[in-house]
Amino acid sequence: MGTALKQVDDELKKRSPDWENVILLNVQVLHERSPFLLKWFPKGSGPESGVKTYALPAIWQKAGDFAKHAKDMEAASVKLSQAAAKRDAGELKAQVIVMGKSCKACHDDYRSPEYEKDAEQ
Amino acid sequence: MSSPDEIGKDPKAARVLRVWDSPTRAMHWLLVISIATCWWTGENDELEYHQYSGYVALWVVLLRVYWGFVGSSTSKFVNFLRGPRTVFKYVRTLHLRNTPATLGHNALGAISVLVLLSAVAAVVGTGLFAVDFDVLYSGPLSSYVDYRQGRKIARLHGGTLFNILLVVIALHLLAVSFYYAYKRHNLVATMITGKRKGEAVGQELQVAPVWRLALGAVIASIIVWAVTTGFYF
Repeated sequence: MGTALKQVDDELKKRSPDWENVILLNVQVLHERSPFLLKWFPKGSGPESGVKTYALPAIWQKAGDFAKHAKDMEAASVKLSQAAAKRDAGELKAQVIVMGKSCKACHDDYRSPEYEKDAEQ
Repeated sequence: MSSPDEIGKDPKAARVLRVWDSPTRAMHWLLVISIATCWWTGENDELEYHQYSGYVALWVVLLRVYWGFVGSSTSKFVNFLRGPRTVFKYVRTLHLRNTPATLGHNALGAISVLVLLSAVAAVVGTGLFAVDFDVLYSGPLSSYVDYRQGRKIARLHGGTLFNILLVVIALHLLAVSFYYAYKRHNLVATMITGKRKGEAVGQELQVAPVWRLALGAVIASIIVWAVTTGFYF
């Protein structure tokens, strides 16, 4: 999803962005996947499952807050696709930032900082 | 010529010498401030301000390199970079307390200037291509690499390369302390005032004209501006 958001962000820097092949496709990815976030971390999939996870236990301890952030992200992805459908570069750029902040909201609190250290190997 | 152990004994020999011009001193302290700001904002996730302070550091490095070619005498690379033989010769006198000071960088200090500038350039340069995990504060040139590459560069930027820079800065501070404690040379004061007391060693500081500095500042600003746009004009 980071890749998709980055591609939209990069394309918007260009003078004549490719809406058809780059922006709309990637926005669609973000829009379609966002609602799944709440299903990706079912109860019991934390460290107690024995499977390695970078999801912090806080996800389940503060389930309400996590769900609120997830809903925010879903809403951001809807607005993102609406801005893309209008082909309004200014509005889309603003929504890319809203979207990125909604990603960050959970990554800051609910993702282990070990995530990338291990991804390196 | 007086022998080294006569220095300080003859008051007529010691006079105030100009060592550093004001642009070089300003660049030095601006670099200190910008790197400190980059460090703090990087550690505290203030990435918007991290970018701004990074641009300032880039601007200073560009201007210092330019000044190294056309600046005042003690700032020019040709006047202070020395070959390995001179460096070794200097290192062998390092333990002596009363060696006459060089007007400007000594042979060993010259290497530290190069290493410091290169380390800052490496950290700032990779920062330009770094990708933010959430795509909010990626470097201005990050669109030229993909997400994974950009994340690797970001980790290199804030990890290995920044740690190397910290080590180099620590060595620099250690050397300055050594000169202060052991050789009684207050290099910090000289970097603030531009002057020190000492025996005239033949050369005088040749200050470069202001217009040349202004030209360099404009060139560095244009480059930094172009970089911030990601070269999408």
